[in-house]
This record gives sequence, structure tokens and C-alpha cells, in this order.
Amino acid sequence: MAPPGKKFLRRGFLSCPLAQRLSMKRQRLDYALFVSPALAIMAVFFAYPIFITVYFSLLDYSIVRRTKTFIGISNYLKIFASDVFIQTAYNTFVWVVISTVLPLIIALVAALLTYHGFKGKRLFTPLFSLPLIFIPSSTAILWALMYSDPFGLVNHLCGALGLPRRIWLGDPNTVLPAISLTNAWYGTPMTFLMLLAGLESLPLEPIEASEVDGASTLQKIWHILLPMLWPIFSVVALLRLIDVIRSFALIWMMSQGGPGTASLTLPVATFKTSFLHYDYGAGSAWGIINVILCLILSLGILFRRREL
Amino acid sequence: MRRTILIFMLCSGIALLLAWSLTPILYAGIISVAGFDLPTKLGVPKDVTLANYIEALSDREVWKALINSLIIAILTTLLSVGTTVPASYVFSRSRTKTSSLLMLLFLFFRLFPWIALAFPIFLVMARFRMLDTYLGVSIGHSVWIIPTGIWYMKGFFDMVPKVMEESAMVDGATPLQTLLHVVLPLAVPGLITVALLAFFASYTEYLYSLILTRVKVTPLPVLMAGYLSEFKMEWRKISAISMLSTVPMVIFYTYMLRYVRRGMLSGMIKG
Repeated sequence: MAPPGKKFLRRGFLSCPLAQRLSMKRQRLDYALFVSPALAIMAVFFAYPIFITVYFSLLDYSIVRRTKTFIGISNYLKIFASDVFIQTAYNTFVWVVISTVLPLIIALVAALLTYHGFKGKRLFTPLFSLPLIFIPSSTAILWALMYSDPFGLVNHLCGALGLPRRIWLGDPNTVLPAISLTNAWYGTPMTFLMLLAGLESLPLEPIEASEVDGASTLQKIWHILLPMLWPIFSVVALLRLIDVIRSFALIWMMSQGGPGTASLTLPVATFKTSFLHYDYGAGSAWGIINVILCLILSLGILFRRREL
Repeated sequence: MRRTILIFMLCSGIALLLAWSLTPILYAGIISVAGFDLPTKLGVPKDVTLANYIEALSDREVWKALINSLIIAILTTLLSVGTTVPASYVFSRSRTKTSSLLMLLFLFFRLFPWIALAFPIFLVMARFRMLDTYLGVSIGHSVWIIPTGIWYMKGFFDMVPKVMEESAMVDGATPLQTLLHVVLPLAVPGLITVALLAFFASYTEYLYSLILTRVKVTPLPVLMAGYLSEFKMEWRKISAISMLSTVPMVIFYTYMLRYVRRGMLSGMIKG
């Protein structure tokens, strides 16, 4: 409580301890009421489903096999021993590396350029961020068109360069890199805007001091800007990493995890097991594996945030 | 001489960056105005026409999906703003252990993999008979927006000075009156941010729209994704539809760009 002001003293009633305690109690009750709608939704549609997932992951629960029996952790053991898991883990790794590293590099270069400033900078930022206006489904359509066989730009370019034309999304060797590239394209503007905002929030004194001392632009970037940006950069990178690991829409829309298991990543495998194979036990176990992976990475964010 | 090389490198770098961002958009734009013949080699189409856009706009399915999308997005916005604002006000003002623990929990929820809960949420919605209803999809979307919204909104409430609400409390205002008449008017930018965030998160969402809808309330992203799995694709028409689907997103895009200029995005990273 703040020190009592004039208004407070004027009201003799409120200054008596009983009334004060009553109003404190009243406030606590009101606060509880304020939080309850959000907590209620989270409890019914978040906490309870988590509970169900954990429970189902310990069951042999399948519509096809008509079973619902407790089997402990066998679902997990079966998944870890399966070929699909190894393929999925490898795919997830490729997917994550391409669609995290590529946008981070491109966005960092663009952000440093924009921060350094050039003629037409005011036009560059909105143009470079233009992919932001597309929703994931439009992005999938745009890039499916780019990769399509007779009409796609990628195949036109291949034809012009004398390379063989391909069905990029139908070939097990190219499908995953192709969709990763799409995801990289889609993620670049947001990463760029965050890094640019990070650069612009840096204190100006060390940068100006380095200019006074006659540092070249490259020296300034390498020795001053990048080390100062690092805490923000690492959080942006971790956020992007988690977003990529849990992303489902682009792969599902463009290839449904196929052909075969060529573009199966963790979320797609989870979805397929539950909704296509109706194997709810194994599907829930896949889901829990997703959760554990994301939890570990969010701990990373938690530690980095302390330094910001 | 060195200067010329440097300027040349700078220009080509900028051109490359712009090409990366704009090529797919330009190409889909060209296809969306192409006439009968689609280019099978590198080059521009022979005839340019707006017929594809007219065809897309006269498709009743598209309109219905768009309206469904907007209804779901508005419902989601109301739902998440309505629950987020009072909760984050409490989190901003209360200094108890419970409240900081809950905030930490919300941070984890924010980074939770949606897919893990897809099937159980589907079951819960089925039990409540809310599959294929606007409210069901909106709740499904809100669950993912509320944690993020609470973190943003708390940041905005933290910036509102406490002096005014303390004097309001002393004058006998209830916490609800204080929130509505004293604190909220000072946190309007935050309110707009969370509302926009909720609206566009819902407008772009795919996974929960896919599993919680059947036919009645199918939103635009699900309809558009459906075109991709069709056997024969009408590239001209669906390019036109992808172009048209961006129209509401322009608001979001403008707001994001203004954000950067005000240096507010860094709060997003930290918050």
C-alpha cells in the first residue's frame, strides 16, 4: 500500500484496520475472479488434454486393433526401436537445420545492411518483409507452384541452365530440402524484423566511439555490433528453432510427410499416427516426445532471457 | 575504384535479398493474371487477364470460407482479449509466488508443441459437442493465444504508473472499476497489439482449424490447403485466391513494420 494521501485521511472509515483488512480481502477475491476465466480455459482445454495425452501414451489404444489396455512405456520403446523413428529424427534434423540457419543468415545480413543504412532503405524494409502478408496456406500454394512440373519457375530455371527438370515435391531426395526452403522463405521477414529491432535497441555510445577511433565498417560489425547483438540473436534463434521444430502446416499441406516417409518430421508423424492410423496410444507417445524436445529448448530460452 | 566495387557489391547484395523475398510472390502474381496458356518455358504469358480473379471472387465456396475465417478470428479475438486483459492485470500488480509461478508456466505454454494436444483437444471438443462450430474452433485457437497475450499485456500494464489507480482505490473504486476506467485507457496500445495478434494468429492458423472443422465452418486456410491435394490443379485460380487471401493481412503487416520503427519488437523478444 502507498502512504496514505490527503484523500485517504479524509475518509476516517477507511483508515480503521478492520475496513482495511476487509478491502484487502475484497481485492484478493476480485483478483481471483480476474484470473479465473483464463485459467478455466487453460485448465479444460490445455491441462486436461495434457493429462489425457500422458495417460494415453501408456495405453495400447487403437481403433483398428480395438484395444485399450495399459502397457506402461512399451509405446515409447516401440517407437524408439522403429525405423520410422530414425528416419523421422533424421528428417527433423535436416528440416530444422535448413529452415533455421538459412533465414537467420539472410535476415542478419539484411538487418545489418538496413541498420548501416543505404539509399532506399525506407523502401527496402517493407519490400523485404512482404512475405509476412501471406498465410501458411498461400505460402504452400505459392511454392507448390514454384516447384510444379510443367509450369514452375524452379523447373524453368533448371531448363534454362541445362539441368534436368524434376518433380521436386514428389521425389524423396528433394522433397524435404524443397519444403525447408519454403519454410526458410516464410520465416525470414519475421527474423529480420526482430533482429533489426534488436540492433536498433542497442546503445549508441560504443558504436559511435568505434567510428571516432576510425574502425572500418567490417571491423565495426565484427567487433562491436555482433558481440552486442549476441544475447538478442541467441533468443531469436532459439525462438525460431522451437517454431520450426513444432511446425506442421507447411509439410502437411505440401507433401503430407511423403513420398513414403521422405518428409516425415516429428509433428507430422504424430498427426499421422493419431489421425490416419487411428493408433491413439502410439500417437500420444509421439506427442510426448515432441513436448520433451520443446521443453528442453524452452529451458534454453529461459536461461538466455536472464541475460537480456 | 575500390569504392565503385564496394557500391556494386552493396547493390547486388540488396538485389539478391529482394529477389529472395519477392520472386515467389511475383511469379504467383504473374500466373494469377495469365490467360489461357500457362508458360511452360521461362517467359511472360502471352495474354494478361483479370478473369482468374473474377472467377475466384465469384466462387461461393471461397466467400463462405473467408466469412467463416473472419467470424472465427473475431470470436477468438473477443475471447482471448476478454480473458487476457483481467488476468494479465492481476499478474502485473500482484507480487505473490503463485502469480510468478503461473507466469513461468504460461511461458512454457507459449513454447508448447501444438501437435501434442491435437488429438485430446479433438476428444474434449467432441465430448462438448463443439466440433465444427465457430465457438469450438475459436476456443481451440484461444488456448494458444492466451499465454502469449498474457505475457505481452503484462508488459504493457507494467508500464502504467501505479499512482493513479492507488488514488482510485482509496476513493473506493473496486478493482474492476479501476481496471476499466483508470488503467485500461492508459494501456490501449497493448490492447490493440493483443487484439491484432489474436485476430491474425487465428486467421493464419491451420492445424486446429483442420481437426476441429468438418464442412460447416471450414475456414479459408483449410479450404486453400485442400486445393493442393486435388488431382488436377487450377494454378491460375488458386494463385488468384492466394493473392486475395493476403488482403486482411495487410493490416497486420503495416502494424508489424510500425512496431520496428518504435523499437517495440525487442520487448516481444524479451517478453
